[in-house]
Amino acid sequence: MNDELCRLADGYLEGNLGEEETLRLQNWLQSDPDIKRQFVAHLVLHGQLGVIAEELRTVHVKAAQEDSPLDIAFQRKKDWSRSIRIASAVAIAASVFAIVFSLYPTGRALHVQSETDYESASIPIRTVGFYLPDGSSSRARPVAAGSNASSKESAIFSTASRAKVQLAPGTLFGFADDAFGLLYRGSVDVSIDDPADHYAIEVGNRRIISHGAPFTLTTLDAERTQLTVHDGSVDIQTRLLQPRLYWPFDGHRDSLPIVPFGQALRVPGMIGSGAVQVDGKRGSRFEIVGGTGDTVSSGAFAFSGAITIECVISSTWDGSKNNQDPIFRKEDGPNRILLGFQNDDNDFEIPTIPEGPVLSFGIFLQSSGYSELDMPLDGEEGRPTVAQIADGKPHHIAATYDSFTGVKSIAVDGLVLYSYRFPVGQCIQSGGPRAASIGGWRNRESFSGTIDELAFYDYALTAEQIAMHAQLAAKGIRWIQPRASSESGWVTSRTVTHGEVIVLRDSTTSHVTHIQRTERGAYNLVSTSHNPLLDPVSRGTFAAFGPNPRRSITDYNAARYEPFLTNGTTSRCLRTPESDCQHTDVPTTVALSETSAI
Amino acid sequence: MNHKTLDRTAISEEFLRLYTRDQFRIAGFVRALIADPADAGDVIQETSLALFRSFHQYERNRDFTNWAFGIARHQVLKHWRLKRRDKLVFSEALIDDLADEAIAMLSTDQDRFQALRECIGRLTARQRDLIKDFYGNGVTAATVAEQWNCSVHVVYNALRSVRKTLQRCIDGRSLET
Repeated sequence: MNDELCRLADGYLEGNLGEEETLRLQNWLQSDPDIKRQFVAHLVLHGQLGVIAEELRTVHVKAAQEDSPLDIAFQRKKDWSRSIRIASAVAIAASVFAIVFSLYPTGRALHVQSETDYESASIPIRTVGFYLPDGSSSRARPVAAGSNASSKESAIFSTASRAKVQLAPGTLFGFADDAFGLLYRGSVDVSIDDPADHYAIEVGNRRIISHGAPFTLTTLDAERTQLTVHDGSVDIQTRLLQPRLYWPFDGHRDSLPIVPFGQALRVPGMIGSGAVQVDGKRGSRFEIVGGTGDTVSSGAFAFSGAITIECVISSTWDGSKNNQDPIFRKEDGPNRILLGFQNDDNDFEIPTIPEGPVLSFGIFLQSSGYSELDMPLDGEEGRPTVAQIADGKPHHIAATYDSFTGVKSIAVDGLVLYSYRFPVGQCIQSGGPRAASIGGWRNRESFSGTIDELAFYDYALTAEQIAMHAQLAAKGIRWIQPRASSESGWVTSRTVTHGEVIVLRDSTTSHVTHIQRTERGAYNLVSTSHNPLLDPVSRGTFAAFGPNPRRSITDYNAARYEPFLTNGTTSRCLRTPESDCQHTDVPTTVALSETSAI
Repeated sequence: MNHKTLDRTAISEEFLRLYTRDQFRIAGFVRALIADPADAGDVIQETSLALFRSFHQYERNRDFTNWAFGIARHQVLKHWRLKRRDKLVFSEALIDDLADEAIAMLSTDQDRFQALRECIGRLTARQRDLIKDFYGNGVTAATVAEQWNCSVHVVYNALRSVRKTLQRCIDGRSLET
């Protein structure tokens, strides 16, 4: 390679060539195959140097003891020096990939102001239909997914899925998607022109789905919603209380593949066989492959009515100023989702707090914009200090937001320690084209410690559920039964036909298939009605009624059923010498099951 | 878990294994053809996602590396097509040729990779530090210049000199073998 070619090649790599030199180099390359070969060798050298450079850094590899695809090399031969060398190469390759990937985080679709800025550019939000105030097409305006309407006058929402939702005056309605909406307050009439289409309305953990049948849904009060079917039939569905996305990190059940960058490793799990560990150094993280969408409110991370992020972590974060340790981050401009430790200027926090170390939960809400619930790690009011939560021991974390209550909260080790209430009806706007990261973000932030059992629910876990999950986590028991890919997250509990008027209650106990906790901690199912309990796991039903418990649920299975349980009362017949049967209300754990008719 | 889920999980695992094995080559290929690290980073990201999305089309009797290179090549060309208005860009035909040449080189790059490692071992400590900082730690030339108490041009010249030395070293080893 002569000096002139070398000079031009270097100039090309450094972006310093002018138009004339670029043209000269091009002509040269096109006319001389040997020159072209030398030039390509130079380019390849440039690309490979990054990888080799990583080898100059000290790499400590901790061998995982599980069947992770990344660790196959470890198990083929028990030659540890070779294995570590192979693992090093993988880690190194991943590191360099991360550096190439992340040092310069600009994108074509997204403009980044500078390398030091976090993404702030807006990404288009998916349109889900048109809003016609007072039914007037002349005033029609497009509706973005995740927006809401609090209309004083009647209005029509015409969806992209060809449903028509008429909002009565005073209705607060969330336009979650083109196929479903969220009724917070008021009344809606739904009609669907094409029977091939469908539309659903969610009310908390219930939804009404229609394949062409017109219906009216009206909120009566905070806990009751009335359904009237005008023709045909609609289904009342109960939410399957399972996560939408779940990473047990055991090597075979993750919702989406993850790819390591830098010194991010699979390690033995705190729950189950696997977890992921990140070393806190810039660039180290796992990236999730897939789950993205073209616009905000699309892809696997598009949440609308509610969200819970749950995980078990062990952290050694030092809490120092400007040291951020993300557990999860997806950076779709301001429509980001974030959970992690921070000690920054608290630019986005709601409510405001003094500067200092926090556990931060950030999402974008339609009316408030992006904000973070920054829980101070100050040791006050039951909150942990940095030393307490980053003590290298496992801690259960749950961050929730529910647009039906407006409450955003953070729980640690089963206790909700910090919360803030937004106005009811603010939908989440999340999801989009950017890759999600676990344990780090690009080349800027990296978690110090281990993450396990990362789960994303499209509903808010209750305080009781969080407490139980944390108890099971503390015992090392897995509490999550992953949703099968074919499942929608909803199961039909009742079909309502023309002429029926149904009142849905938030936690119905009227059909008392109840569950008693035994002294051993297991549950016994005791059906006291002819309406059997739907088994959320097997989709079968439990046999109805009987003087003795028909089935016993073991500790493991209790975890699977636990999300379906709530506290209520049942009427029990207590025999006394004076009376054959004295009915008494007894506090009981009951299954969320059916609706009651009026 | 149903069969469909099992299949999908198995496919994801297979993808992850193959992708992890080859990601360096893919990244090296993209970065070789797109000098700007920012653009290269974006194309690498697009490529990784494109690979995952189209993995169901991957024919198992084909070599994964070659298949992945094909997709990476497509992403690189797409990138340059979008930059076509820029007069400082090579013609598409030339980029196509360069991509072919680079794929041919990287497809059999194991010896070359090892040779490069050994050649770096022969550099001075200061040169190795430069490589480590500039490529490994992402330190900019300006920062290195500050550390060295010299101008940025001196750093660029040093980088140029190191690359030239390494290229000669690799070529020399190739001749020896």
